[in-house]
Formats: sequence, structure tokens, C-alpha cells
Amino acid sequence: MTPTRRLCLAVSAAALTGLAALPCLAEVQLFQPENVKAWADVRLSLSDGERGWRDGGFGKTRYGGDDVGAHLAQAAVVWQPRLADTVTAHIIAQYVPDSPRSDSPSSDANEAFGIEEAFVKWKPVPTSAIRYSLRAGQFFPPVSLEHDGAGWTTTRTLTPSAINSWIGEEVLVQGLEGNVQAQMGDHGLGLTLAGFTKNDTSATILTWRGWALHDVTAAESTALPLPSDLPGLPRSQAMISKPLAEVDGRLGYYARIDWRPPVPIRVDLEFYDNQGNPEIVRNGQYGWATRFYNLGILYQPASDWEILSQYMTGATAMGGTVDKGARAFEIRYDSIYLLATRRFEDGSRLSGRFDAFAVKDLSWRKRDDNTEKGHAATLAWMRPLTEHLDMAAEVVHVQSFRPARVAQGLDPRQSQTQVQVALKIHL
Amino acid sequence: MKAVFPSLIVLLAAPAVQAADLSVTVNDAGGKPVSFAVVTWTPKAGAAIPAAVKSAQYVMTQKNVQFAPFVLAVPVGATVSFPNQDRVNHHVYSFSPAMPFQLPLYGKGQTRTVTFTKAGTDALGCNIHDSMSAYIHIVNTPYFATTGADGKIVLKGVPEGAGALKVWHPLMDAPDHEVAKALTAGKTNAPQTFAVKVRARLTPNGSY
Repeated sequence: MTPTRRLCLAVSAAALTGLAALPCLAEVQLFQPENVKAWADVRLSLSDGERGWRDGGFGKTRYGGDDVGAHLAQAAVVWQPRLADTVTAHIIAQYVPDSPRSDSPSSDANEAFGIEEAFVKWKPVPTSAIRYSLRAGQFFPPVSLEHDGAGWTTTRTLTPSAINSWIGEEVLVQGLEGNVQAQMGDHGLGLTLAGFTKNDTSATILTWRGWALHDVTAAESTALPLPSDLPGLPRSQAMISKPLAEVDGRLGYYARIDWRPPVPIRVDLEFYDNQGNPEIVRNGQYGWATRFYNLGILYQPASDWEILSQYMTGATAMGGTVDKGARAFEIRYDSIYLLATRRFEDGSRLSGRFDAFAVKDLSWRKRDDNTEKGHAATLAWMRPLTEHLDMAAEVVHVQSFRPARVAQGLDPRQSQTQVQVALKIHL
Repeated sequence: MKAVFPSLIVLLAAPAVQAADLSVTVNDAGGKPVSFAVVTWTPKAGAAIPAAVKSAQYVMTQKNVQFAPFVLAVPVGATVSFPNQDRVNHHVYSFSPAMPFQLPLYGKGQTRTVTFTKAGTDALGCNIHDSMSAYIHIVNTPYFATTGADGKIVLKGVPEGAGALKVWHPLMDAPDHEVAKALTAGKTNAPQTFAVKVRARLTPNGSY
């Protein structure tokens, strides 16, 4: 190791702990074209069915009710400055003008501007078959197989699966994550461990609104609306949920293992536990004891075909113990999807996905029944038109059963269809 | 083309030795041609690598956030250049025992070189782009070539005598990713065919 390299490593470590990375100036690169990405994603949408979840309904898609219109879905800037040769920062700033707004006077107005991810990453150059990296800041835990585009975006469909829609809206953390990758013969193995703060409210929306399929992603300023007229809601609960609230001062954690066998398959398994204290409420935000397992499989049967699948099973609980040891609000949740994508020479992708989802309510069902069952079918076509313009068209159809809809005077069984045409203009 | 060039030089440089061409086809178990297989002929008596073969141009390009070619065969002593044709910076490295090295961040239009002094295989990576992967196979013989899409190569000017014909591929399901045949090269040589098992790999999609 040369003295310069040693110095760079020391500086890299310093950068991670928040100190300035002034030496290694040769490697600092802040505003070159490769450090900045930006886009505006404009949609024409047509949807039917029940009131949208962002307007206080139980709707399952981004645009709910009888909506026809043009929307700016998201404008975003991704800045990835290089602070040293092995240290980068990664910041996603987004503007979502029609972000969920709460009608509750007690809530803060939801900000259209927000920071989705913001972290510093240290990735030393591998000197053996064991590679490692560290990141610190705000990020989505690595669960989604679908969000492999720049700035945590999807690349096969406009609308992510139910599982990854939920990750995007309610599973955003601030913490420290370490990753180790090793090559054992022909098999690649990876281990990721993270400790985090915030995200104590994770699964509030999943419990009271249920699963949904949409691409509105959380930022530090996000406030997600609860459905109106919920009969069993505690009085101290605000009508919005803030995914980045810290309520109980406890650390959460997640772990992930990766397996890359010598065939075109990748397998990953995650366990997440926010270790929330279910009996604490602060500023209208309750702590929820939320945990889940997620299994992901990516398979390439041929170089132009991809099969993706994830299965998630989890549970959450909030409130005091009521009956049979269950807490006042306690559910188990499950979802699975299977997605197939065909890639064409011109860069276009045709994808079909089937989602199934369910919530089992374990307590107080007479007063607050959060049972849910449903499935969805998605067909999407995405295509780059020019270097700076992508086009996409998508249909999502969701059928679901949720007894809580009765409180809003609705039939528990609902179906919803959303058609979107998207133009994404990017740098 | 790179493989033909050094072999031609061998032909010109060693007129006293009787030599003939040796053509080799590499197929997979299903009979489909295998590309990126490195075929080598190593005479039992050994063979010096002429200076002109060592000093030929060997290039591993970075383009579209990929290495090209996926497999590059070079003789011991060769210098490989690593031009970056991408808009983005790359940080090329290898921790393979044959020749561990790293080329810290460099950008479009710039190039770096590495000289490979030991036979073996270098697996290449980029510390910025995990999906980039390629191999440099360093051989200790002047008789080598890499198969194209048709799975065929011709080793020019193979000298008469006993030797080993080897096929190496980074994803071959065989010890050291290599299979070998003992042969005696003559004034003419019968075409050789190998049926090898090569694993499929995940192809990176890049980002949009």
C-alpha cells in the first residue's frame, strides 16, 4: 500500500464519519456530467373505480376514482459527487406536485419537495475475492428487484409490484449499512447488515389502507394520508403517517444474504425488524413493531428474457394487549409477484406481472377489520425514443376485497383499472 | 485478427521448421458454437514467444459500461492497453494472483497500460460499475487464438512434433475452466473439435 493510498483510505474513513475530504483532490469530482442525472416524468392517465388512496380513499392505484388527466408524476435530480477515489455521495431530490395531502388540520402540510435517498458510500478497491462497502445516510433497504434504474426508479413497468410499492412508501430508513461479497469457488455470496433509526411508523398505511400498486416514493418530508372514516382509529393518531418518524428511540436492523450460483439465477433473502415500541405515541405517530422476510429470485432463461419474483411475509402490531395476547392493531401480511420481461434490440421492454396480496387481521375485527385479499395484473411497454426521451404505456388492473370499505359506504369488493402513458425527459 | 497476426510472424520467423495449420472448432454440449474460448497449442519442447508477438497491440476497451472483448488472450510479456471510450470514469482492477493491479479513476479518451509477466488468468472488474466483467488469459506459447461467434479458429504455423492442444473459457465447467488433448502435429493436421460445457451468465441490463 502506497502512502498516498493509505492517506486516501484514512480520508475515506474520515469522510464517512462526517469530516471533510479535502486531500485526494485529484479524485474529487462534483459536477461533471456523470455526477448529475435529472428528469421530468409526465403522465397521461385514465383510471376508474373507487376514490384514490391519496385523497383519503382505499384506491389501489396511483390515480384513483374516475380520473382523466395529465400529471407531472415526478421531477428528480440525482447528484452523485465523488469525494475521493473510493468515496461517493448519492442524493436523490424529488418534486412530486400531487403528493398525498392530508385534510387533517393537525398534520403538517405535505411537502412536494423531498430528499428520497442521501448517503455517503465507501467502497475500497478489492484486493482479494472478498469485497466490502459501507454506506451511511438515508436509503431504502435493498429489497426491491424492480428498482434498478437511476435514482431508485423501476425499469420494466411504471408501477412497481405491491411489495415494492410498499417498500417505496413506508420502508425508508436512516442508518449505517455494511456489505461483504465473497467468491467461494463458482458461487458468489453476499451479506448485508444494517442498523437504523426512524421508520418506526412502518406498516401504519399497510394496516389501515392495505396493499397498493403505485410509484409515489417516500422522502424525508413525506406524509401519507390514512383513509377517512376509519372506525377504530385511536384518537391520538394523526390522519397522516410519516415514514421517517422516530418515536421510541430504539434502533431497527435488517440483514440480507445474496447467492449467485454459477447459473443465470440470483437469489436474495432479507429480514427486517424496526424493533418499534408498539405502546408509544408521539405527535400523532405511533410506534409499530414491524418485521418481514422477503425472498427475491431473478432468472434469465435467455439473454433477452428475465423472470423476477419476490415473496414477502411479515407482521406488525401497535397498541396495548387486548385479546388472546394480540395487540389492539395486529396483522400479518403477505404478497407475491411474478414478472416476466422480454427485451428487444431497440432497447424496448415488454413486461407482464401478476401480483397477489393479503392481510390477516389478528385482533379486534369487530371494531376495526383490516382483512384484505386481492390480486393485480400489469402489462407494460417501455421504450427509449431518443437519448433524452423515454416512452412507456401501462395498464394495471386490481381486484380486491376489504371489509373496511363499508365505513366509506363502499362494497368490500372493488376493482380498479389504470391506464398510463408516460414521457420521461432526462439529461 | 489479433491471433492471426502473431502467428504469421512465427511463420516468417521460423522458416527452418516444418509447420502446418491446425484448425479447431469449439462447440457446447448441444453442438452450438462457443465464442470467447481461448485455444492454445503448446509444443512439448516449449516455444519461445517472439518479440514481435509480445509487442503486438492488445486492447481491452471500456465502452457502454462494458469491457470489450469479454475475453482477451495475450502472451506472457504482453502489454495491454485499457482505453476508456465511455463518458463516465472507470476504475479497473484485478485481484487475480496472475497479475493484481488497479488503474485508479480515469475518464473518456484516456488510456492506461498493464504488462502481464506471468501465465494465468486475470478476472477484471470496475470498482464503480459492479456489472462490468471480463477476462485476460495470459498464455505461455505463441500459438493461440480466441474463437469468434462461429466457435472456429485456425492456429497458423504449428511446428511438427508432440504437444498439448488446450481450450480455456472463463465459464467452462471443467477443472481450471480448461480441457486439453495430447496431439502430435504433422505436415498436415486433421481439424479438431471440442465439445465443452459452458455455463450461461446473467447479462447486465445497464440502467436507463
